[in-house]
Amino acid sequence: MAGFLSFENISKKFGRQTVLSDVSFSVEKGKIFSLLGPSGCGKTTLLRICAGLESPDSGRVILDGKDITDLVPNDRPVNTVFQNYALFPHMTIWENIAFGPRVDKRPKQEIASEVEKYLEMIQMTSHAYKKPAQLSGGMRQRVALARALINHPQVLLLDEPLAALDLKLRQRMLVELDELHDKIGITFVYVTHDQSEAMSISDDVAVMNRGIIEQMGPPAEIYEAPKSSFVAAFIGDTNFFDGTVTEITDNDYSRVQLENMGNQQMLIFNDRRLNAGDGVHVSIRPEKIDISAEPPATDRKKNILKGHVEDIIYMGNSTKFWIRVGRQLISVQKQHSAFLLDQKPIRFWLAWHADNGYILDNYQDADRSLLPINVTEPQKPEKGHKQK
Amino acid sequence: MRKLSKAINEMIISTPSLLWLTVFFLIPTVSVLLISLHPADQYGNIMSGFTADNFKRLMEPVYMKIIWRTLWISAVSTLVCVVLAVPVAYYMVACRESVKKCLLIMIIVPFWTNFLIRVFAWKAVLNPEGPLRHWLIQLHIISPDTLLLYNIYVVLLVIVYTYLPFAILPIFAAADKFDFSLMEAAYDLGATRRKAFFKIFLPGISSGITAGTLMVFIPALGSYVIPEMVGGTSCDMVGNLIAERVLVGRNIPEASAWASVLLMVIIGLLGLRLTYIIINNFRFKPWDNGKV
Ligand SMILES: Nc1ncnc2c1ncn2[C@@H]1O[C@H](COP(=O)(O)OP(=O)(O)O)[C@@H](O)[C@H]1O
Ligand SMILES: [Mg+2]
Repeated sequence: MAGFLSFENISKKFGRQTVLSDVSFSVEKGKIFSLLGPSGCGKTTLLRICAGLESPDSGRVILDGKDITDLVPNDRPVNTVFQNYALFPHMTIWENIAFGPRVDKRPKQEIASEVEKYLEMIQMTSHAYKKPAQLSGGMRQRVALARALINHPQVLLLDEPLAALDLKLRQRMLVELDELHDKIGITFVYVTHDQSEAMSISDDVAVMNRGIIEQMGPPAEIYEAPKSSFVAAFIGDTNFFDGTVTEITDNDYSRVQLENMGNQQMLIFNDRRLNAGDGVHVSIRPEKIDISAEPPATDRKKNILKGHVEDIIYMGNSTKFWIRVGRQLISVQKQHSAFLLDQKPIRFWLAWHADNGYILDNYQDADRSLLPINVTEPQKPEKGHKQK
Repeated sequence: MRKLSKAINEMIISTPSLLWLTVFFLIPTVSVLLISLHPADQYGNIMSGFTADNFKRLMEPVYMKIIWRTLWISAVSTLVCVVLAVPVAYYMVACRESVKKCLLIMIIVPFWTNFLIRVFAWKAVLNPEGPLRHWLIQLHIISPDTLLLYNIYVVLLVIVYTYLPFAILPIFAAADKFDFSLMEAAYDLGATRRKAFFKIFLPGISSGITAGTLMVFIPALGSYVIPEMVGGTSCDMVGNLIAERVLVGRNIPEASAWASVLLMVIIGLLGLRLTYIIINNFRFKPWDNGKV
């Protein structure tokens, strides 16, 4: 596998629990690569395997063509910014940053000037002789960063570096981190459970779920073309539709009969080999659906539906509509729709382009529970099971 | 109003412990110091008037030797205890919770046996007619004329044996609270296991080490039973001298002078520790807004 840092078929168990199963990916040099997934999915374990703090049951870690799987942590040219920062509490900020160069036995003069340089970089020169306990969360985070970077690692591993900070600070630090990366240009592996963080900072994202990588690619691709129900639901908000293929119209599109929605057939983009009669699951993002009070202009590749309003939630920067079509609730998100709020119509036309519906490679019912509100009507109990 | 009632409350709450300290610590300590400044008659009774004679006698070379011996035996046994306790604690905290509990109990169990009996047990084990000496002679580890008992090394051994748990417990408590992810951070930054142990772990449990040091050193200074029973006359410590002055010499003021010396060493040590804590807490304040 090409790439600067490669994980090849990594598996890891803790006792009987499989934490990573056959994970492979590679990171390009100088890029920011994010591992995104819910907590407990194995992100930290993967990072620790890269740092050498954990060893995989099987698989290899290759850095710059060299197999580093069996190296001890102190022999690896990687450094970590830990989730809780792990600053040494008995040392000053200066000593914390100097720790790496000191154990590396660099000359005293050089250490001093390097530490000054990095203190300046994180704008903490005036706090050099404080202890970590005297600093705020954001300052500690910067110290942890400087302490790692002063060793000139080939790869910097960041384990949820912003998770402990409040929202405003998090946004600012994210920008700082991005600028820092542009300046020093080393490879970052960035672990987070926050999709907006991963989306905004990364060149590539790997979405993890229960020890496997569900999908990997640039942020836009992951958002726009989710391959699995997990990715679609974990990153952003979406609508799931269950249906059956009725007709393959040409190479790129197929007609799908959606359940719960009457006889209407939808035209859906389709880059897989499908046959009429196949059951499929489709994801459509709420903001990809147009909404209007009047019937929209028709188009060969446009799906048009009529439904009535269940709920309208005004959210400031956008408005969320819950529209019922047949037995399916569809969520739609639109900006500049104040007129729709004023008119308060009860019927709406929904329209979306066939390219915005994605047929999922991999679908699991459980993933619907990841959505903010479960958009499918609960199944009515069957007659025989009806209780008094 | 509320502040006042709070202050009164605090006074009421702390009264019992203050009273306890006054009656059982302050009054006896001050009395010992005062008595040590009184002259004694030839029967050892406390006379009126003040004198420094009791302290002057301590300066005699024979006695200086005993003070010196007491200090170094205490220091060496403290060092040995701490050096043994640190790896024990390091190992214990790495164990599973259930194993940890078992080990803790095993450390505490010897306290269920009376201290005197435990020292007697050592005497039995090391007895000239005992099996241990026999085997050691047969295995040619010691020569037939070597005695295991009545030398300074046995005194050290039994002091270390007796006070080791007092070093292990506080050091274990500190190690148990120690955040081992700091060790991982150190490895990650290029430190070897050895470096991380000395630069991160030891400073991280320093409070436990100081507590353990004081817990061993202070009682070791006051050793009396151990040198008396396994040490013989060449191993007398200050504790034996005090007993001798009280029971045989019947010179209470001189005994008090000896006790005062120990007291002052201990108070001096605690004072040092207090100063250290204070300095440590304020050390970085002056630079807070300053330059590097
Ligand atoms: N040292 C360990 N021993 C046992 N289980 C562990 C250990 N480390 C992690 N785990 C388990 O492995 C799973 C993945 O953990 P982790 O990699 O920390 O997830 P994440 O960082 O994505 O939240 C979790 O269920 C966690 O309980
Ligand atoms: Mg984690």
